[in-house]
Amino acid sequence: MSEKCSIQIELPDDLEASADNLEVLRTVFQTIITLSRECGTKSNQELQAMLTDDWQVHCGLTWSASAQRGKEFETATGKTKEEALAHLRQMTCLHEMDGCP
Amino acid sequence: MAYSNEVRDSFSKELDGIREAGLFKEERWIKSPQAADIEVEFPAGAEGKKVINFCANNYLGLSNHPDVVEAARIGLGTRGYGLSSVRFICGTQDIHGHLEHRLTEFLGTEDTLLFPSCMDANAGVFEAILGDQDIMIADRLVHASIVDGMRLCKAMRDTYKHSNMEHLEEKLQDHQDKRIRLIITDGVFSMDGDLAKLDEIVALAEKYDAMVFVDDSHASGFIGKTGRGTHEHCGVLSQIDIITTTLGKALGGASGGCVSGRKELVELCRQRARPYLFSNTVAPVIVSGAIKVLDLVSATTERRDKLEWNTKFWRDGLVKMGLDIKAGDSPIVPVMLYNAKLAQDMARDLYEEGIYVVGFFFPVVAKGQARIRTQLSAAHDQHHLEKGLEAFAKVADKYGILGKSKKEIKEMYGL
Repeated sequence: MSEKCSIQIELPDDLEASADNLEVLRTVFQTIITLSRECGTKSNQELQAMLTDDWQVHCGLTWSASAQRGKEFETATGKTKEEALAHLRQMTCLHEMDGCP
Repeated sequence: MAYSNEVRDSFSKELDGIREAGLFKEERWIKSPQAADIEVEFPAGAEGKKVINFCANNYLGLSNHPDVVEAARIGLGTRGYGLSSVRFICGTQDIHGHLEHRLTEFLGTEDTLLFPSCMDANAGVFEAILGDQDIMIADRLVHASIVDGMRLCKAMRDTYKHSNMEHLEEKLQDHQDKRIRLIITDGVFSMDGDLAKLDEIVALAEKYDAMVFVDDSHASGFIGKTGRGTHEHCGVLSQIDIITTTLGKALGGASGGCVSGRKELVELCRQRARPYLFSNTVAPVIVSGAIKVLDLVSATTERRDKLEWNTKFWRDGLVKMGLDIKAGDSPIVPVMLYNAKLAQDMARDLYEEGIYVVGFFFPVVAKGQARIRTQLSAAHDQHHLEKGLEAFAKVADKYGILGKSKKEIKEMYGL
Protein backbone atom coordinates (compact mmCIF):
# COMPACT_ATOMS: atom_id res chain seq x y z
CA MET A 1 0.00 0.00 0.00
CA SER A 2 1.42 3.39 -0.97
CA GLU A 3 2.24 5.88 1.74
CA LYS A 4 -0.40 8.56 2.29
CA CYS A 5 0.63 12.01 1.15
CA SER A 6 -0.20 14.94 3.42
CA ILE A 7 0.62 18.61 3.40
CA GLN A 8 1.95 20.29 6.49
CA ILE A 9 1.96 24.08 6.56
CA GLU A 10 3.91 25.92 9.19
CA LEU A 11 1.93 28.78 10.63
CA PRO A 12 3.70 32.00 11.59
CA ASP A 13 4.61 32.25 15.26
CA ASP A 14 2.59 35.39 15.75
CA LEU A 15 -0.58 33.95 14.16
CA GLU A 16 -3.21 33.29 16.76
CA ALA A 17 -5.34 30.73 15.00
CA SER A 18 -8.48 29.82 16.86
CA ALA A 19 -10.02 26.36 16.76
CA ASP A 20 -12.58 27.77 14.31
CA ASN A 21 -9.83 29.15 12.05
CA LEU A 22 -8.12 25.78 11.97
CA GLU A 23 -11.39 23.99 11.29
CA VAL A 24 -12.07 26.30 8.36
CA LEU A 25 -8.57 25.73 6.97
CA ARG A 26 -8.96 21.98 7.32
CA THR A 27 -12.35 22.07 5.62
CA VAL A 28 -11.12 24.26 2.76
CA PHE A 29 -8.29 21.87 1.96
CA GLN A 30 -10.58 18.86 2.34
CA THR A 31 -13.04 20.52 -0.06
CA ILE A 32 -10.37 21.22 -2.66
CA ILE A 33 -9.24 17.62 -2.53
CA THR A 34 -12.81 16.32 -2.60
CA LEU A 35 -13.75 18.43 -5.62
CA SER A 36 -10.59 17.55 -7.53
CA ARG A 37 -10.71 13.84 -6.81
CA GLU A 38 -14.37 12.91 -6.68
CA CYS A 39 -15.83 14.60 -9.78
CA GLY A 40 -17.16 12.01 -12.16
CA THR A 41 -16.32 9.09 -9.96
CA LYS A 42 -18.26 7.10 -7.39
CA SER A 43 -20.10 10.04 -5.84
CA ASN A 44 -21.60 10.87 -9.21
CA GLN A 45 -22.77 7.31 -9.57
CA GLU A 46 -24.44 7.48 -6.17
CA LEU A 47 -26.05 10.78 -7.09
CA GLN A 48 -27.26 9.45 -10.43
CA ALA A 49 -28.74 6.38 -8.76
CA MET A 50 -30.82 8.56 -6.44
CA LEU A 51 -31.93 10.89 -9.26
CA THR A 52 -33.02 7.85 -11.24
CA ASP A 53 -35.13 6.84 -8.25
CA ASP A 54 -36.84 10.27 -8.37
CA TRP A 55 -35.05 11.70 -5.30
CA GLN A 56 -34.38 15.43 -5.30
CA VAL A 57 -30.87 15.60 -3.92
CA HIS A 58 -29.02 18.47 -2.31
CA CYS A 59 -25.46 17.91 -1.20
CA GLY A 60 -23.42 20.79 0.21
CA LEU A 61 -21.10 21.93 2.91
CA THR A 62 -22.56 22.67 6.31
CA TRP A 63 -21.64 22.90 9.95
CA SER A 64 -22.15 19.74 11.86
CA ALA A 65 -22.12 19.44 15.62
CA SER A 66 -22.35 16.40 17.85
CA ALA A 67 -22.50 15.80 21.58
CA GLN A 68 -21.89 12.63 23.53
CA ARG A 69 -22.42 11.84 27.20
CA GLY A 70 -22.03 8.16 27.99
CA LYS A 71 -24.45 6.32 25.73
CA GLU A 72 -26.40 9.46 24.86
CA PHE A 73 -25.53 10.91 21.48
CA GLU A 74 -27.03 13.76 19.49
CA THR A 75 -26.04 15.39 16.22
CA ALA A 76 -27.23 18.52 14.47
CA THR A 77 -26.34 20.51 11.36
CA GLY A 78 -26.72 24.15 10.46
CA LYS A 79 -25.82 26.74 7.85
CA THR A 80 -23.75 28.46 10.53
CA LYS A 81 -21.87 27.16 13.54
CA GLU A 82 -24.29 29.07 15.77
CA GLU A 83 -27.27 27.39 14.13
CA ALA A 84 -25.77 23.91 14.41
CA LEU A 85 -24.92 24.38 18.07
CA ALA A 86 -28.33 25.89 18.82
CA HIS A 87 -30.06 22.85 17.31
CA LEU A 88 -27.71 20.54 19.18
CA ARG A 89 -28.34 22.33 22.47
CA GLN A 90 -32.09 21.89 22.13
CA MET A 91 -31.74 18.14 21.68
CA THR A 92 -29.38 17.83 24.65
CA CYS A 93 -31.92 19.76 26.75
CA LEU A 94 -34.29 16.84 26.28
CA HIS A 95 -31.77 14.64 28.12
CA GLU A 96 -32.00 16.51 31.42
CA MET A 97 -33.05 13.16 32.83
CA ASP A 98 -34.40 9.85 31.61
CA GLY A 99 -37.77 10.36 33.25
CA CYS A 100 -40.22 7.89 34.73
CA PRO A 101 -42.43 5.63 32.63
CA MET B 1 -21.08 -11.68 12.20
CA ALA B 2 -20.71 -14.68 14.41
CA TYR B 3 -21.71 -14.22 18.02
CA SER B 4 -18.16 -14.94 19.13
CA ASN B 5 -16.89 -15.11 22.69
CA GLU B 6 -15.30 -11.72 22.13
CA VAL B 7 -18.63 -10.19 21.13
CA ARG B 8 -20.40 -11.93 24.03
CA ASP B 9 -17.79 -10.56 26.46
CA SER B 10 -18.21 -7.02 25.19
CA PHE B 11 -21.98 -7.16 25.80
CA SER B 12 -21.42 -8.74 29.21
CA LYS B 13 -19.11 -5.90 30.15
CA GLU B 14 -21.78 -3.39 29.18
CA LEU B 15 -24.24 -5.17 31.45
CA ASP B 16 -21.65 -5.20 34.25
CA GLY B 17 -21.29 -1.46 33.80
CA ILE B 18 -25.06 -1.01 34.21
CA ARG B 19 -24.94 -3.11 37.41
CA GLU B 20 -21.96 -1.20 38.79
CA ALA B 21 -23.75 2.09 38.17
CA GLY B 22 -26.67 0.77 40.25
CA LEU B 23 -29.00 1.06 37.25
CA PHE B 24 -29.74 -2.60 36.59
CA LYS B 25 -33.49 -3.19 36.39
CA GLU B 26 -34.84 -6.38 37.88
CA GLU B 27 -38.34 -7.60 37.23
CA ARG B 28 -40.46 -8.69 40.16
CA TRP B 29 -42.89 -11.45 39.35
CA ILE B 30 -46.45 -10.74 40.43
CA LYS B 31 -48.46 -13.90 40.96
CA SER B 32 -51.89 -12.29 41.13
CA PRO B 33 -53.98 -9.87 39.04
CA GLN B 34 -53.08 -6.17 39.26
CA ALA B 35 -54.81 -4.73 42.34
CA ALA B 36 -54.23 -2.92 45.64
CA ASP B 37 -53.27 -6.24 47.24
CA ILE B 38 -50.86 -8.31 45.17
CA GLU B 39 -48.58 -11.28 45.69
CA VAL B 40 -44.99 -10.80 44.60
CA GLU B 41 -42.15 -13.28 44.12
CA PHE B 42 -38.90 -11.44 44.75
CA PRO B 43 -36.13 -12.32 44.46
CA ALA B 44 -36.81 -15.04 41.88
CA GLY B 45 -37.60 -18.31 43.62
CA ALA B 46 -38.59 -16.67 46.91
CA GLU B 47 -41.93 -17.47 48.45
CA GLY B 48 -44.75 -15.19 47.33
CA LYS B 49 -45.17 -12.13 49.55
CA LYS B 50 -48.45 -10.29 49.97
CA VAL B 51 -47.92 -6.54 49.63
CA ILE B 52 -49.96 -3.40 49.05
CA ASN B 53 -49.18 -1.91 45.68
CA PHE B 54 -48.35 1.80 45.63
CA CYS B 55 -46.47 1.89 42.32
CA ALA B 56 -48.97 0.88 39.61
CA ASN B 57 -50.60 3.22 37.10
CA ASN B 58 -53.89 1.51 37.97
CA TYR B 59 -55.37 4.86 38.96
CA LEU B 60 -59.03 3.89 38.67
CA GLY B 61 -58.58 0.31 39.84
CA LEU B 62 -60.02 -1.03 36.59
CA SER B 63 -57.17 -3.37 35.62
CA ASN B 64 -59.05 -6.33 37.09
CA HIS B 65 -62.59 -4.97 37.33
CA PRO B 66 -65.05 -7.86 36.88
CA ASP B 67 -67.14 -5.98 34.28
CA VAL B 68 -64.03 -5.21 32.23
CA VAL B 69 -62.78 -8.80 32.47
CA GLU B 70 -66.21 -10.07 31.42
CA ALA B 71 -66.39 -7.65 28.46
CA ALA B 72 -62.93 -8.79 27.39
CA ARG B 73 -64.08 -12.40 27.64
CA ILE B 74 -67.10 -11.66 25.47
CA GLY B 75 -64.88 -9.86 22.96
CA LEU B 76 -62.58 -12.85 22.87
CA GLY B 77 -65.56 -15.12 22.14
CA THR B 78 -67.23 -12.95 19.52
CA ARG B 79 -64.27 -11.35 17.72
CA GLY B 80 -61.48 -13.85 18.34
CA TYR B 81 -57.96 -13.64 19.75
CA GLY B 82 -56.08 -11.83 17.02
CA LEU B 83 -56.43 -10.37 13.53
CA SER B 84 -53.06 -11.22 12.01
CA SER B 85 -53.05 -7.95 10.14
CA VAL B 86 -52.36 -4.27 10.30
CA ARG B 87 -55.43 -2.05 10.48
CA PHE B 88 -55.58 -0.91 6.85
CA ILE B 89 -55.32 -4.35 5.24
CA CYS B 90 -57.74 -6.60 7.10
CA GLY B 91 -57.26 -5.70 10.75
CA THR B 92 -60.13 -3.30 11.45
CA GLN B 93 -63.24 -4.67 13.11
CA ASP B 94 -66.42 -2.79 13.93
CA ILE B 95 -65.30 -2.62 17.56
CA HIS B 96 -62.14 -0.70 16.63
CA GLY B 97 -64.34 1.96 15.04
CA HIS B 98 -66.67 1.94 18.06
CA LEU B 99 -63.79 2.41 20.50
CA GLU B 100 -62.32 5.25 18.45
CA HIS B 101 -65.73 6.94 18.39
CA ARG B 102 -66.11 6.51 22.16
CA LEU B 103 -62.64 7.92 22.83
CA THR B 104 -63.42 10.92 20.62
CA GLU B 105 -66.57 11.60 22.65
CA PHE B 106 -64.80 11.09 25.97
CA LEU B 107 -61.82 13.29 25.18
CA GLY B 108 -63.97 15.96 23.53
CA THR B 109 -62.10 15.93 20.24
CA GLU B 110 -63.00 15.52 16.55
CA ASP B 111 -61.53 12.11 15.73
CA THR B 112 -59.33 9.35 17.16
CA LEU B 113 -56.93 6.71 15.86
CA LEU B 114 -55.84 3.70 17.91
CA PHE B 115 -52.18 2.68 18.15
CA PRO B 116 -50.61 -0.41 19.73
CA SER B 117 -49.39 1.85 22.56
CA CYS B 118 -49.07 5.53 23.42
CA MET B 119 -45.33 5.08 22.96
CA ASP B 120 -46.15 4.21 19.33
CA ALA B 121 -48.60 7.09 19.02
CA ASN B 122 -45.92 9.53 20.16
CA ALA B 123 -43.31 7.93 17.93
CA GLY B 124 -45.52 8.37 14.86
CA VAL B 125 -47.58 11.50 15.25
CA PHE B 126 -45.01 14.26 14.67
CA GLU B 127 -43.49 12.76 11.56
CA ALA B 128 -46.98 12.27 10.12
CA ILE B 129 -48.09 15.88 10.42
CA LEU B 130 -45.00 18.12 10.39
CA GLY B 131 -42.36 18.93 7.79
CA ASP B 132 -39.02 20.68 7.64
CA GLN B 133 -40.62 24.14 7.56
CA ASP B 134 -42.22 23.57 10.97
CA ILE B 135 -41.00 23.82 14.56
CA MET B 136 -41.69 21.61 17.58
CA ILE B 137 -41.33 23.44 20.91
CA ALA B 138 -41.32 20.95 23.78
CA ASP B 139 -41.31 21.23 27.55
CA ARG B 140 -37.92 19.91 28.68
CA LEU B 141 -39.48 17.22 30.87
CA VAL B 142 -41.71 15.55 28.32
CA HIS B 143 -41.92 11.77 28.27
CA ALA B 144 -39.15 9.76 26.60
CA SER B 145 -41.51 8.57 23.85
CA ILE B 146 -42.09 12.18 22.78
CA VAL B 147 -38.34 12.76 22.57
CA ASP B 148 -38.06 9.71 20.31
CA GLY B 149 -40.97 10.92 18.18
CA MET B 150 -39.34 14.33 17.81
CA ARG B 151 -36.10 12.70 16.70
CA LEU B 152 -37.95 10.81 13.97
CA CYS B 153 -39.53 13.99 12.63
CA LYS B 154 -37.88 16.30 10.10
CA ALA B 155 -39.31 19.45 11.67
CA MET B 156 -37.02 21.78 13.61
CA ARG B 157 -36.80 21.30 17.37
CA ASP B 158 -36.71 23.66 20.29
CA THR B 159 -37.45 23.37 24.00
CA TYR B 160 -38.61 25.53 26.88
CA LYS B 161 -37.77 25.28 30.58
CA HIS B 162 -40.18 23.06 32.46
CA SER B 163 -43.58 24.78 32.78
CA ASN B 164 -41.93 28.17 32.31
CA MET B 165 -44.44 30.25 30.36
CA GLU B 166 -42.12 33.25 29.94
CA HIS B 167 -39.56 31.01 28.29
CA LEU B 168 -42.21 29.40 26.09
CA GLU B 169 -43.37 32.86 25.00
CA GLU B 170 -39.80 33.83 24.08
CA LYS B 171 -39.52 30.69 21.98
CA LEU B 172 -42.82 31.35 20.24
CA GLN B 173 -41.63 34.87 19.41
CA ASP B 174 -38.35 33.45 18.06
CA HIS B 175 -40.17 31.09 15.71
CA GLN B 176 -42.77 33.34 14.11
CA ASP B 177 -41.08 32.74 10.74
CA LYS B 178 -41.90 29.01 10.75
CA ARG B 179 -44.87 27.53 8.87
CA ILE B 180 -46.34 25.71 11.89
CA ARG B 181 -45.47 26.03 15.56
CA LEU B 182 -46.39 23.03 17.72
CA ILE B 183 -46.18 23.34 21.50
CA ILE B 184 -45.58 19.91 23.04
CA THR B 185 -46.22 18.98 26.67
CA ASP B 186 -47.29 16.19 28.97
CA GLY B 187 -50.62 16.81 30.70
CA VAL B 188 -49.41 15.35 34.00
CA PHE B 189 -45.65 14.94 34.34
CA SER B 190 -44.81 11.48 35.53
CA MET B 191 -41.84 12.36 37.75
CA ASP B 192 -43.31 15.09 39.93
CA GLY B 193 -47.01 14.58 39.26
CA ASP B 194 -47.41 18.26 38.40
CA LEU B 195 -49.92 19.43 35.81
CA ALA B 196 -49.12 21.42 32.67
CA LYS B 197 -50.53 24.96 32.70
CA LEU B 198 -52.72 24.20 29.73
CA ASP B 199 -54.88 27.30 30.11
CA GLU B 200 -51.79 29.52 29.82
CA ILE B 201 -50.32 27.37 27.05
CA VAL B 202 -53.54 27.61 25.02
CA ALA B 203 -53.61 31.40 25.53
CA LEU B 204 -50.02 31.66 24.27
CA ALA B 205 -50.84 29.38 21.36
CA GLU B 206 -53.67 31.69 20.34
CA LYS B 207 -51.51 34.78 20.73
CA TYR B 208 -48.66 33.37 18.65
CA ASP B 209 -50.65 31.22 16.22
CA ALA B 210 -49.39 27.85 17.42
CA MET B 211 -50.92 24.39 17.80
CA VAL B 212 -50.93 22.46 21.09
CA PHE B 213 -50.04 18.81 21.66
CA VAL B 214 -50.66 17.08 25.02
CA ASP B 215 -49.72 13.57 26.14
CA ASP B 216 -52.38 12.89 28.76
CA SER B 217 -51.39 9.34 29.65
CA HIS B 218 -51.18 10.09 33.38
CA ALA B 219 -54.49 11.98 33.34
CA SER B 220 -57.08 10.38 31.06
CA GLY B 221 -59.91 8.91 33.10
CA PHE B 222 -59.44 10.84 36.34
CA ILE B 223 -58.05 14.39 36.01
CA GLY B 224 -60.80 16.99 35.62
CA LYS B 225 -64.30 17.01 37.09
CA THR B 226 -65.46 14.15 34.88
CA GLY B 227 -62.05 12.59 34.33
CA ARG B 228 -61.57 13.69 30.72
CA GLY B 229 -58.07 14.88 31.39
CA THR B 230 -55.82 17.84 31.99
CA HIS B 231 -57.63 19.89 29.35
CA GLU B 232 -60.87 19.54 31.31
CA HIS B 233 -59.11 20.44 34.58
CA CYS B 234 -57.66 23.59 32.97
CA GLY B 235 -60.91 24.62 31.27
CA VAL B 236 -59.64 24.19 27.71
CA LEU B 237 -61.68 21.18 26.61
CA SER B 238 -61.89 21.07 22.78
CA GLN B 239 -59.03 23.59 22.48
CA ILE B 240 -56.19 21.08 22.32
CA ASP B 241 -55.25 20.21 18.75
CA ILE B 242 -53.67 16.82 19.44
CA ILE B 243 -54.01 14.58 22.47
CA THR B 244 -52.19 11.29 22.81
CA THR B 245 -53.09 8.95 25.62
CA THR B 246 -52.92 5.35 26.73
CA LEU B 247 -55.30 2.54 27.54
CA GLY B 248 -52.48 1.07 29.61
CA LYS B 249 -52.91 3.11 32.77
CA ALA B 250 -56.24 4.32 34.24
CA LEU B 251 -58.31 3.13 31.27
CA GLY B 252 -58.04 -0.58 31.99
CA GLY B 253 -54.28 -0.94 32.10
CA ALA B 254 -53.91 -3.54 29.34
CA SER B 255 -52.20 -1.86 26.40
CA GLY B 256 -52.98 0.36 23.43
CA GLY B 257 -52.92 4.09 22.91
CA CYS B 258 -54.31 6.69 20.59
CA VAL B 259 -53.94 9.99 18.79
CA SER B 260 -57.07 12.11 19.21
CA GLY B 261 -57.71 15.62 17.96
CA ARG B 262 -58.44 17.68 14.86
CA LYS B 263 -59.87 15.36 12.23
CA GLU B 264 -57.41 16.32 9.48
CA LEU B 265 -54.46 15.62 11.77
CA VAL B 266 -55.86 12.26 12.83
CA GLU B 267 -56.51 11.40 9.19
CA LEU B 268 -52.90 12.27 8.33
CA CYS B 269 -51.80 9.85 11.06
CA ARG B 270 -54.06 7.19 9.52
CA GLN B 271 -52.33 7.76 6.18
CA ARG B 272 -48.74 8.24 7.31
CA ALA B 273 -47.93 7.28 10.92
CA ARG B 274 -45.53 4.40 10.58
CA PRO B 275 -46.22 2.67 13.94
CA TYR B 276 -49.90 2.56 12.88
CA LEU B 277 -49.17 1.45 9.33
CA PHE B 278 -46.63 -1.22 10.20
CA SER B 279 -47.88 -2.62 13.54
CA ASN B 280 -50.58 -5.15 14.16
CA THR B 281 -54.03 -3.98 15.10
CA VAL B 282 -54.95 -3.69 18.80
CA ALA B 283 -56.30 -7.13 19.83
CA PRO B 284 -60.11 -7.50 20.00
CA VAL B 285 -59.96 -8.61 23.62
CA ILE B 286 -58.37 -5.29 24.61
CA VAL B 287 -60.70 -3.22 22.43
CA SER B 288 -63.75 -4.91 24.02
CA GLY B 289 -62.41 -4.34 27.52
CA ALA B 290 -61.59 -0.70 26.76
CA ILE B 291 -65.13 -0.01 25.51
CA LYS B 292 -66.44 -1.31 28.83
CA VAL B 293 -63.94 0.91 30.68
CA LEU B 294 -65.35 3.94 28.85
CA ASP B 295 -68.89 2.81 29.77
CA LEU B 296 -67.84 2.73 33.41
CA VAL B 297 -66.00 6.06 33.51
CA SER B 298 -68.72 7.82 31.50
CA ALA B 299 -71.56 6.52 33.68
CA THR B 300 -70.24 7.75 37.02
CA THR B 301 -67.35 9.70 38.54
CA GLU B 302 -67.45 7.48 41.63
CA ARG B 303 -64.01 5.93 41.03
CA ARG B 304 -62.42 9.20 40.04
CA ASP B 305 -63.88 10.83 43.15
CA LYS B 306 -62.60 8.02 45.34
CA LEU B 307 -59.14 8.42 43.82
CA GLU B 308 -59.30 12.13 44.62
CA TRP B 309 -60.27 11.38 48.22
CA ASN B 310 -57.52 8.75 48.53
CA THR B 311 -54.96 11.17 47.11
CA LYS B 312 -55.88 13.88 49.60
CA PHE B 313 -55.85 11.41 52.53
CA TRP B 314 -52.44 10.07 51.47
CA ARG B 315 -50.88 13.48 50.85
CA ASP B 316 -52.22 14.86 54.14
CA GLY B 317 -50.97 11.80 56.02
CA LEU B 318 -47.44 12.06 54.62
CA VAL B 319 -47.23 15.78 55.33
CA LYS B 320 -48.60 15.39 58.85
CA MET B 321 -45.99 12.76 59.70
CA GLY B 322 -43.27 15.12 58.52
CA LEU B 323 -42.25 13.80 55.15
CA ASP B 324 -41.30 16.07 52.28
CA ILE B 325 -43.56 15.52 49.26
CA LYS B 326 -44.01 17.30 45.95
CA ALA B 327 -47.04 19.52 46.34
CA GLY B 328 -49.99 19.10 44.01
CA ASP B 329 -53.29 17.29 43.55
CA SER B 330 -52.39 14.38 41.28
CA PRO B 331 -52.27 10.77 42.50
CA ILE B 332 -48.56 10.71 41.68
CA VAL B 333 -47.04 11.59 45.06
CA PRO B 334 -43.24 11.67 45.18
CA VAL B 335 -41.73 11.38 48.66
CA MET B 336 -38.53 13.39 48.39
CA LEU B 337 -35.39 11.81 49.85
CA TYR B 338 -32.72 13.49 47.66
CA ASN B 339 -30.11 10.78 48.29
CA ALA B 340 -30.16 7.78 45.92
CA LYS B 341 -29.04 5.20 48.48
CA LEU B 342 -31.57 6.43 51.01
CA ALA B 343 -34.34 6.07 48.40
CA GLN B 344 -33.23 2.52 47.59
CA ASP B 345 -32.83 1.51 51.24
CA MET B 346 -36.19 2.90 52.26
CA ALA B 347 -37.96 1.24 49.31
CA ARG B 348 -36.39 -2.08 50.32
CA ASP B 349 -37.43 -1.67 53.97
CA LEU B 350 -40.96 -0.66 52.96
CA TYR B 351 -41.20 -3.83 50.90
CA GLU B 352 -40.27 -5.79 54.02
CA GLU B 353 -43.14 -3.97 55.75
CA GLY B 354 -45.51 -5.12 52.98
CA ILE B 355 -45.54 -1.88 50.97
CA TYR B 356 -44.49 -2.09 47.32
CA VAL B 357 -42.86 1.15 46.16
CA VAL B 358 -39.85 1.96 44.00
CA GLY B 359 -37.01 4.43 44.52
CA PHE B 360 -36.12 6.71 41.61
CA PHE B 361 -32.78 8.46 41.31
CA PHE B 362 -30.40 9.89 38.68
CA PRO B 363 -30.56 9.51 35.69
CA VAL B 364 -34.30 8.79 35.95
CA VAL B 365 -34.67 12.05 37.89
CA ALA B 366 -32.23 14.94 38.25
CA LYS B 367 -29.16 14.59 40.46
CA GLY B 368 -29.98 15.24 44.11
CA GLN B 369 -33.69 14.68 43.51
CA ALA B 370 -33.97 10.99 44.50
CA ARG B 371 -37.39 10.01 45.70
CA ILE B 372 -39.88 7.23 46.23
CA ARG B 373 -42.72 7.75 43.78
CA THR B 374 -46.00 6.61 45.29
CA GLN B 375 -49.13 6.27 43.18
CA LEU B 376 -52.66 6.13 44.45
CA SER B 377 -55.53 4.08 43.10
CA ALA B 378 -59.28 3.95 43.48
CA ALA B 379 -58.64 0.29 44.30
CA HIS B 380 -57.07 1.38 47.58
CA ASP B 381 -59.39 1.37 50.58
CA GLN B 382 -58.73 3.45 53.66
CA HIS B 383 -57.13 0.52 55.49
CA HIS B 384 -54.56 0.20 52.66
CA LEU B 385 -53.66 3.85 53.03
CA GLU B 386 -53.47 3.65 56.80
CA LYS B 387 -51.18 0.64 56.64
CA GLY B 388 -49.05 2.42 54.02
CA LEU B 389 -48.73 5.54 56.16
CA GLU B 390 -47.89 3.45 59.22
CA ALA B 391 -45.10 1.72 57.31
CA PHE B 392 -43.74 5.00 55.94
CA ALA B 393 -43.70 6.46 59.48
CA LYS B 394 -41.83 3.43 60.85
CA VAL B 395 -39.22 3.31 58.07
CA ALA B 396 -38.73 7.08 57.91
CA ASP B 397 -38.24 7.14 61.68
CA LYS B 398 -35.58 4.42 61.36
CA TYR B 399 -33.65 6.71 59.02
CA GLY B 400 -34.27 9.75 61.20
CA ILE B 401 -35.86 11.89 58.51
CA LEU B 402 -39.29 12.59 60.01
CA GLY B 403 -39.83 16.32 60.22
CA LYS B 404 -36.50 17.01 58.55
CA SER B 405 -36.15 19.65 55.88
CA LYS B 406 -34.54 19.11 52.50
CA LYS B 407 -31.40 20.84 53.81
CA GLU B 408 -31.28 18.61 56.88
CA ILE B 409 -31.76 15.41 54.88
CA LYS B 410 -28.99 16.52 52.54
CA GLU B 411 -26.71 17.21 55.50
CA MET B 412 -27.47 13.78 56.97
CA TYR B 413 -27.10 11.71 53.83
CA GLY B 414 -25.46 13.89 51.19
CA LEU B 415 -26.53 13.84 47.57
